Amino acid sequence: MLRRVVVPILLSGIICFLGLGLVFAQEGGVYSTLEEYERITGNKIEKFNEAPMLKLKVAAGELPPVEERLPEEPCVIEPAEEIGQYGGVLRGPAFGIHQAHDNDYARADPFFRISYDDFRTVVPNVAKDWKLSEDMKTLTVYLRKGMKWSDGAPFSADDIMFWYEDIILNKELTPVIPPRWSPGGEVMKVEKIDDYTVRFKFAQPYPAVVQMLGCLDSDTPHVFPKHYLKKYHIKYNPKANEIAKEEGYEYWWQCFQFHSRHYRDIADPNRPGIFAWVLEKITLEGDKYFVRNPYYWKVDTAGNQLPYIDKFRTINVASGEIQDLKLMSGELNFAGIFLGFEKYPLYKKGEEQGGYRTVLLDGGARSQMKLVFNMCHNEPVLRDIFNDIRFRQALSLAINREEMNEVLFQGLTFPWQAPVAPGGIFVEEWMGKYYIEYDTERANSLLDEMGLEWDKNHKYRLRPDGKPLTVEITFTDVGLGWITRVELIKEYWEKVGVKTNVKQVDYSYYADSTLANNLDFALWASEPYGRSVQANADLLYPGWGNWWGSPWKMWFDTNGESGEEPPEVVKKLHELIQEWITTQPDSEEYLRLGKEIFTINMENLWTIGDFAGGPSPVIVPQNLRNTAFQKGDVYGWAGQRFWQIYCPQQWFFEK
Amino acid sequence: MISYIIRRIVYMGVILLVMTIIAFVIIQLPPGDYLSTYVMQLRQSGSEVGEAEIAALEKQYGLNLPIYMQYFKWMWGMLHGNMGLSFQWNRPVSELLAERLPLTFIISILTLTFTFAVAIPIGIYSATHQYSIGDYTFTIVGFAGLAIPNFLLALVLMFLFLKYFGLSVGGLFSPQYQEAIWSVRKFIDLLKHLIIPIVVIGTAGTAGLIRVMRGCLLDELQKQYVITARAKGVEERALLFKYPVRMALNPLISSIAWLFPAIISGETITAIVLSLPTTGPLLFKALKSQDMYLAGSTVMLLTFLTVIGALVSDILLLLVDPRIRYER
Repeated sequence: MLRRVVVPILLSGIICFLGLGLVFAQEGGVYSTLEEYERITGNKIEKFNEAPMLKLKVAAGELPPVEERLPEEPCVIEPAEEIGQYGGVLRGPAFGIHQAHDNDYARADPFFRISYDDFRTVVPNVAKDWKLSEDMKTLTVYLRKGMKWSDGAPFSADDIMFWYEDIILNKELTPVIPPRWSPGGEVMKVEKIDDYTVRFKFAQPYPAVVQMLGCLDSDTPHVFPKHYLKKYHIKYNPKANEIAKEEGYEYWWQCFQFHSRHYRDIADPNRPGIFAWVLEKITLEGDKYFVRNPYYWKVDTAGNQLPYIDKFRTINVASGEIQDLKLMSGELNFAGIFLGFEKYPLYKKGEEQGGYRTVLLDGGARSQMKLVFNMCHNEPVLRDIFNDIRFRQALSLAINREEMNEVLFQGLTFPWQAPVAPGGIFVEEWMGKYYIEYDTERANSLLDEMGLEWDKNHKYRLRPDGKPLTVEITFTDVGLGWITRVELIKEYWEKVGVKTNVKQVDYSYYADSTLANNLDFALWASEPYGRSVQANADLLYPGWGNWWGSPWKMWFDTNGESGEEPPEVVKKLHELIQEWITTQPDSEEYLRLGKEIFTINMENLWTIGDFAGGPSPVIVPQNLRNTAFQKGDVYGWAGQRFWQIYCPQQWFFEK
Repeated sequence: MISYIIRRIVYMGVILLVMTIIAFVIIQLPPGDYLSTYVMQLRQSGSEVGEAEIAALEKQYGLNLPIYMQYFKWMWGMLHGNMGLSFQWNRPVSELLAERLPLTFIISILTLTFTFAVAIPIGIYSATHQYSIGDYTFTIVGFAGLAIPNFLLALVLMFLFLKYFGLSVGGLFSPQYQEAIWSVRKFIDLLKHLIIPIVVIGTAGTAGLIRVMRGCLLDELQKQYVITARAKGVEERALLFKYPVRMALNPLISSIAWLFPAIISGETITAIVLSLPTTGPLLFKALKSQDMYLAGSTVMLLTFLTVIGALVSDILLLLVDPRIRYER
């Protein structure tokens, strides 16, 4: 119940890249700058307006007028339904500081943004524009002139350089440079061209960077205010260690990290931000209060400075039951990530008392659970069995997906094979239906063919060495109700004679066993496409989930010096993937290679799944407008960055 | 008496030292460490972490040292009043504990008061009215209170309070008072929110205490000195409170030793369910993610309170019961 830590990180969604085939009718639009808006629409914005709470401050002389606070080039948002009214408080749940929650995703502003017109195109956001060079090795980013942090200090290329030179390249702050900043194994270079232009240079073609900067919201270049943070940095302040000691830390970098946190773990209310709502205070109970950023850089088409909503509250709830009670008492009015479909009737019933409305969206990747065979099993006998494709096919055929669908989801989902998700550009119809029919007869004959004899009582099958054939499904609870699904799978498998043990363990145990290559299966939510497939191509290797502890991976990593040599098909897959990540998205090469990679993954059935497309409820205040949910919207697109798609800055409470 | 106390304090120091070693080792026993969880999370979120980087992280967290060196580092810090840094919070442990201790103490002390205020009178009543309807009723209620899991009771009570009194659930304040400055109303709001935790945490303890009180008192009531006193015409009420009740309190006093640590950790599950910012949930999470300095320091605090509790209860027993000698 409490271990919901990882889903959020993992459940990156499905439609990254794959939005085709789904139609998202959207009224609203985003114009990168005022000039662009006026040029395209022919309308003019003559005068800027601001929230009443800011007007008071301006009148009292605490703030400069809105024209001076906005950048010279504000971003213009056309509201999804209508021009909104200022005011209101959005209250969402949090399950501790290490778990992603709805408010975080709704509050954050990535460097670029994924458009809510098609859930796919990358559009400008914090940066007003960018240009990827012909060879895809250089990315030039243009910032907004006159843009400011929430304390009024200018936001410029210096802040980006601070992130690169003093955070990413600093050994103490970043002992591990994430591979996304070192494509091809070489750390990228960042240069300042002028105050509002920076250039990223990569060692190899890196087309995925654009999409990544459009999704990424934590370790991202644009969230570290140099003017505030430099006093905690040893390079700028030789006394940084003393400040750290005063605050109870041993070293300056610990103290720096504390103050630089800006996301779900944000802790310093004085730290200026760039998002629409900035931290105001943290209560004793750990609840976080956010208030509108007076220097926010987006306006609506009538010249009103966004956001419309005054305040965000992140309220600690610690358990799903408390969250539900608080929703029904109206204390919370915004939730999504931790709502389970099984409680949908409860949420519906509480709507009136709680003053919210419940919307059912397509659960997307959230609803798919996948079992990954450990192809490099420590035990030789089991390894041979797992490596026989007939065994994998038989276990997939033995699962009665229709029955699971009826029992667990009232028939609202559909059987679907992992690891592909429905609707993707590489996905062909046969892939999702590959070996998903329920056919125990065929499963049995495949197992018989393999020579896995039944025991005396005809209860379980025996391995070639005469021991009973036993597999173990080890998993960790991430709050998606896997236990019931796993229990059913156990029953199905035992019907064809494969004795199955189910073991639910704590996350750290699961993590450790995976890294030590000690599991029969990895079990996780399906995530074939990551936040950006090209940037996270590991997902495409056999047994993503077991892959990190795999001797095959080590063989690739060490160029064959240690680990174990993988079979030809895996080597071929490796070559294809390495080539594919350097291709321009949507190019012919990209599609051809992608399709081939997916076909290899499917045909080998390293992973089996149950079904896809289960419904997933979300809750928003009854009178919240401009949300523009459409039927068929998929929840959890690219992680729960999902909320960003709907542009919460233009949501408003109808009075 | 003084020499007795001094002797006890010296023993306490030894016990604490041994406990630090045991606590430190036990926290390290489960497979993996904080880093394995962290690395796994990095990898699942798409970050490739190689051996060299893991070594760098280990160094940064001080996990590359042999376990005894880690222990000495921690102890050295403790001696200088530095409890170390919590991995998962990236904040000094002492700060985290200090934030939560006041509320933890308030809740625990109120709960203790509630427990004693309810259990002792009922225990006396049950003993003096053995096998009466009242005795049976309290017994049933007491056992039910003991048997119902705390978290379940908490959930049910929260639902009832929400449904019938419209009280916001969990936490300490209703939303409208959260930002308000302190006032009588805000204080009343706080008290309302404290009812559930106190009742929930109190009931389990109450049931046990009632049984102990009743049992001891029944033993005492049959003793000769009581009959003698009664025969001599001592008034029933004065007799009861002057002799048998005082005798029956002995086991309660000796239980103070384990009440002290319960102040810190006793309400963990309930506090998690009720979203209370106390130390229980903090310890729980620290143990789960093997945040060893936070977990270790909290366990140390628990140990310290246990030995202090033992000392206090022994001294109290000395005062209450003259039959106990200082010498062995």
